[in-house]
Amino acid sequence: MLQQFDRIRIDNELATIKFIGALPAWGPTTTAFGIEWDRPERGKNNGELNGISYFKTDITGAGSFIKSSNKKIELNRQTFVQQLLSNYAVDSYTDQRLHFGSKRVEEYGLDKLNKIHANFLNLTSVTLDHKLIYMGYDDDEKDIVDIFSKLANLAYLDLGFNLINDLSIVWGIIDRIPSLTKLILNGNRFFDLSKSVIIPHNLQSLHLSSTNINASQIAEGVTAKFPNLQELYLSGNNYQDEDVANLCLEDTYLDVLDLSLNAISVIPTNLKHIRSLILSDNLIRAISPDCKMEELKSIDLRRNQIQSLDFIDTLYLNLPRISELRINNNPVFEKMGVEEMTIQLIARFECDDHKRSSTKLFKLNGSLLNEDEISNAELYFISKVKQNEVSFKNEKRWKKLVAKHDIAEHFTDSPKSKRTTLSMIGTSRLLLQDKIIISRYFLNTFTVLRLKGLISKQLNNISVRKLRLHYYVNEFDKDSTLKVKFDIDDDISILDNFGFHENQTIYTTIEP
Amino acid sequence: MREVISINVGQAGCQIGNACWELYSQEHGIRPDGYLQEGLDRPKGGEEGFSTFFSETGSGKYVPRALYVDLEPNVIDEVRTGKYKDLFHPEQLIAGKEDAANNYARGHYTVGREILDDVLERVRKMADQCDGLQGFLFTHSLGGGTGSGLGSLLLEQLSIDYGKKSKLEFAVYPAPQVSTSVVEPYNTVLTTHTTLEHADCTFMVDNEAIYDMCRRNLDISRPNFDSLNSLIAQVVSSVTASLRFDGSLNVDLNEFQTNLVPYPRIHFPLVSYAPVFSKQRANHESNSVAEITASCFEPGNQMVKCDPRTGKYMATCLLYRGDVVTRDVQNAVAQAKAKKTVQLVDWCPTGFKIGICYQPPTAITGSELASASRAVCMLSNTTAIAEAWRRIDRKFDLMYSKRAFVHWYVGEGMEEGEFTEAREDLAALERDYIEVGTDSFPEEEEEY
Repeated sequence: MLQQFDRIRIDNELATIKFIGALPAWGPTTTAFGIEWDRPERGKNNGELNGISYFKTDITGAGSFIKSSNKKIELNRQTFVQQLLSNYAVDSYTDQRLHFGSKRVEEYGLDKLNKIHANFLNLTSVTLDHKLIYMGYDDDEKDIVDIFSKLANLAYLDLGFNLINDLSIVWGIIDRIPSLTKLILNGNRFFDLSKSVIIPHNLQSLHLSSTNINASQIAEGVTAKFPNLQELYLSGNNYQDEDVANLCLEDTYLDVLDLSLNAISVIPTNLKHIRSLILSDNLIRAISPDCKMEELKSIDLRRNQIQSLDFIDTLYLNLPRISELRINNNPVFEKMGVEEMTIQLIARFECDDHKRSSTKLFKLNGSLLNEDEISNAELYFISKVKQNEVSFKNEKRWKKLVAKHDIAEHFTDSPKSKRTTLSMIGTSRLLLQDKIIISRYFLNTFTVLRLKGLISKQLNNISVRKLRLHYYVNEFDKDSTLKVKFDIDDDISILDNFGFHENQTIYTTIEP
Repeated sequence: MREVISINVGQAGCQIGNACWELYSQEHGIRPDGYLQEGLDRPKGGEEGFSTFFSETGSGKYVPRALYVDLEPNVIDEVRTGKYKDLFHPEQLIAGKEDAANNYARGHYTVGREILDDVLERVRKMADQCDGLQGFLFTHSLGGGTGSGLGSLLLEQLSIDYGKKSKLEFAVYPAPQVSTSVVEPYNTVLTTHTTLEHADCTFMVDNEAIYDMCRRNLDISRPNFDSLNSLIAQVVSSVTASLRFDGSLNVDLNEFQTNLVPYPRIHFPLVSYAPVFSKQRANHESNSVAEITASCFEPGNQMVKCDPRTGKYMATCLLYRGDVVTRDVQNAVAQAKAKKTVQLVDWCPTGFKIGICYQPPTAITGSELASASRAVCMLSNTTAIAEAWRRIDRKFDLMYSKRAFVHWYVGEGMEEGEFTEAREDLAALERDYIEVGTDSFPEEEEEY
């Protein structure tokens, strides 16, 4: 008999029974099930019909009503032991004599495989997903103790997408398999239906993705049950920021935490000891300046809502030991190409060749970095910052960058000037006895020599060697004491290097 | 004892070789220095299978039966100084001083010849250490100078010296995304022509297909050679798994090869591998036997870009690895059969095989590919792969019609006639594929 909070499968879709009773629409003799679908799009309402609310759905719109006599409900629910025996303990092998077109399918090794599997001591990995398992074992099943004692070498167990609805059912199975290190429970739902005594288990990796398990269940049940847990996967559980705050993972030994496909908007600050954090497919747009994670080596921030490069600079400052970063597919990179994104990231983070084992970033968006790539990107980035095409506020990193490449630090020079590469920025004036006789515009990409050549042309090809150029800093300042004269005597340097502002005037004198 | 000697030629060959041997040693529980990992008293996977790829020295150290050959020292130096430097004996690493400059003729005639005797001598030494040499496994690129030129030269020589031993190739097919030179079509056509009668079975790996897989399935925004090679290594490992792991669970690769190659020239099986997805996706996606089997028939999981729906299958084998149960495998194949996209030639009644290897696949540390508890590798001889030849032939024709870059080859002592000869041979290969794809009993057209 199905009860409230039992899980069912209909048409290959999983759902939870939340209401059992009669509906006015179907009359008093028909038993209706109010169910909440695991895939909300399948639902029709929130548990109400004709204005009356029969049950509440956890997710809006995921509920609907079906008749209990619905033929699509798969009623052949199974126990773990039943499925284990029927899948793995197959003694005899029958060639199914399948034909693929005109070809007969020849099978090799299947009989031997059956023999290996039939001895449960050989099993190190058991996969029983999508098998309608709702219980560990029936009390009247034979040889339970014997069967479990033979699973002594089992390390990996997959019970994903079954009909299990209570963690204590799972504990009942795994308490009999102490060798287990990795357990997959994805796609089940857990309601606290019965309380059981928590016996610690040596599990190291636990997958609880797409289970919508409460943060409090993790905090109270899971972390106490598995004191040695190293990896915890909680993706697709509809977590908000406060759920993550309630996970209470501070006192665990967790290394890897997966929170992808949730609805988190700020990088959590309570995960300081985690080494690998997966936050892809969330709504992250902010990072608090004090979320320093000293231990974090790898972070995944793909497909979030990161809007600005400042986020990335803050990230760099807060993750001193980061060595793997994934951050592609965020709005901030939308207008950039892949190359541009890579350059920005390499330069803003401190990177190192992957062959040198280091504490610096060596793997970016899934690719290992090498020396050449890094220095090319850094040099390109420096040139962009110097041309003011890219704004970069992280002074500490900038100092390191320019020091590494031995480049003068022209960082805050002429902050007001808006220079673009090919704009006319000034006038050069020829002075003869302090009287202006020629005036013309110049481009900031000219070399000094070229400017001199242009001037000399206008002066009947007077030798450029006789021309002397100079300019004034703070020329039009009210306080005339600030006005300083500078000579331009390096013929091969580019005018851009002098840090001219727009409408700069360059004066020319002719040596006698 | 059925030993296999791996020969990695050229930059691509050596780098893929590196990735493969790294994976093999992890799968068998060998440390980078050649000794067993702690807690093991013998290599994983059974003594007999293991010894096909590794030899044991007196001191309990294991050495790969592999040879690295390159005409320039850079890549080999990386092996010499890399993480796995102690795994190999210095004699296994052969580097010349002058590179092939992406020129088949330099690899095959001038520079390559100088190193040839040295290489053959080392091969002979390694072959002498074997009790029953099964064959050779070549890894090289088709587009590079050393891989194409020296690779084909070695194959020719081994064909003379070890006629009966089988020679399998993993050949990297050039792709514009990761191209290093403009003459790749020339090198590819020339080397294919030379090796066509010497190699017994060639598994092609199209860099473009791998590149797309890295981008699409592994979400690597800018795949580089490291990303490509670690994926290629996983595929090579799947193909060779049946040779390396013990037990009658495994079908001998030779046996598969016999089935896969109906005519000596039609020896380019298409390799598909599943599951290929990233660690993050693996956390919440199930890869049931039915799903991975179905993926193998999808173009997105193929190692060569071509559309098998347009061609016909001559032979297919599915190699499962890891945690699978008989019933699931049988159901999965029955489901795949229900797909109408799979067309088979009518002249060959057999040639659909399933093999199972109990050993699960291992993920290379640092690879983006998720470690899966099960995987499947499909080898299928389909006429659709002729598409790859058509593509490269067209590129060849574009350049050759203007005789562009031909002088580099002639300058190394090659005759122009060899270009035409090679191109004609490839045209014949394309025709061969069309011929095997046509039904042997065409419908009778009514005539009066």
